[in-house]
Amino acid sequence: MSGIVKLTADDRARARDGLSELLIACVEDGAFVSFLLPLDMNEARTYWDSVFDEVAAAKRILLAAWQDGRIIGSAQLLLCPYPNGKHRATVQKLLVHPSARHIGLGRALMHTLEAEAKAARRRLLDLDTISGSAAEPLYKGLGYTRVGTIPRYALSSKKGTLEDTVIYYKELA
Amino acid sequence: MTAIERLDAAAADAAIAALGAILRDCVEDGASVNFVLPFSQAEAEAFWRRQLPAIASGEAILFAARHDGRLAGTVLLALDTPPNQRHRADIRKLLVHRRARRHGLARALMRAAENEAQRLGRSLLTLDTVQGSTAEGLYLALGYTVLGVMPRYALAANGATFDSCTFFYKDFASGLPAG
Repeated sequence: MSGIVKLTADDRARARDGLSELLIACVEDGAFVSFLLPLDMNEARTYWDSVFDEVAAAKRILLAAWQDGRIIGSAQLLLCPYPNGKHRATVQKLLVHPSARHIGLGRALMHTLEAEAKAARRRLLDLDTISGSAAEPLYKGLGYTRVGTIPRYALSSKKGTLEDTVIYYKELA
Repeated sequence: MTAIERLDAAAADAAIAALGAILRDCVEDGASVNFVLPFSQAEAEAFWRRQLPAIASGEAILFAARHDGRLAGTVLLALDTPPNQRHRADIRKLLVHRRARRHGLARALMRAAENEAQRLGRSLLTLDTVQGSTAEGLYLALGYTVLGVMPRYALAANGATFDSCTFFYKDFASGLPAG
C-alpha cells in the first residue's frame, strides 16, 4: 500500500516494526525526537506501544506514510486533555525517512495532520523543533508563527551538545 | 510565618482535602491551571490523586507552603522529561490560596522548587502562565526570561473567553562554560 493514512489501534501489529525502523533511522540521522543513541528495536517498539495505547484511548492521532508496504514517514498530534485546552493540540514526531527526503513528504504529512486537527475541532496547534533544523523552514512555509527560543533545551545525540529549541504555533482557519 | 515542606505521596494523600481546597480556591479566583468552572472539591482532589503515582516514583516533586499552621500553597516540579532533556524540569501548579496571598508564599515555593531542581542537576526550568497575571511579575522578579506569547492558548476559568499565555524559562547554566 502507498499513501498517508491515519492509523488506528488495529494497525499496531502491522505498523509497529515499520515505525520503529523509521524512528531509529531518523534518530541515527540526528533527529531531535526525545531519544538518544543507541536506540534499539526493543526500546523503539516500547515507545510505539505507548503511542498506540494513546491512539486507542483517543488521546493521540497517528499518521503513517506508506510506500510499497514500507513506512517512510509519520507524524502525530497530541490532543490536549485539559478542560481549558480542548481547542489545542501539539504536533509531535514529524519523521521522514532519510531516504525519502526532499519529495514534499513532510509537508504532505503536515497538511493531513492539520486536516485531522480540524476534524477533531483542534484549532490551535503548537510544536517545537531544534533551532536551525530542516523542519523550521517547513513550519514557516506552512504559516506557523514563531513564539521564541529556549536555549540549551535538548541534547544532541550525535554531537553531545545542548541545542536551542524554537516554539511555533498556528491557528487554523 | 511561612514554612515550606516537601510532601511525599503518603503525605500528599493525607493532605488531599487541603490540597484540593487550594486548587479549587485558585480556579474559583480565575487561575488558568487547566480547569474551568464549575469545579468541585471532588474534582480538585481527583487531580491531586492522579499526581500521586508520579510523586511516589520521583517523576514529580510536590512542595507545599503552610500559612498560620494550615496548608495554603503548592508547587509541582515535574521531572518526567524525555531522555534528551534530563537537564530540564517544568514548574507546574504554583498555587496560593486567596486567604494566604501577599505573604511571600509563592516566592518561597519557587525558591524551594529551584533549589531542588539544581540539587538534581536540572539547570533549565520552563513554565507558562496567563499573560497579564500577577504570576508574570513574580517570574520576572525571580529572573525568568520571557520566550514569547501564544495567543488564545487556554480557555479561561469562566469557560467563555480565551487567555493568551506567556512562556518563560530560567537557565541556571547560563554563563557557565559549555559542556
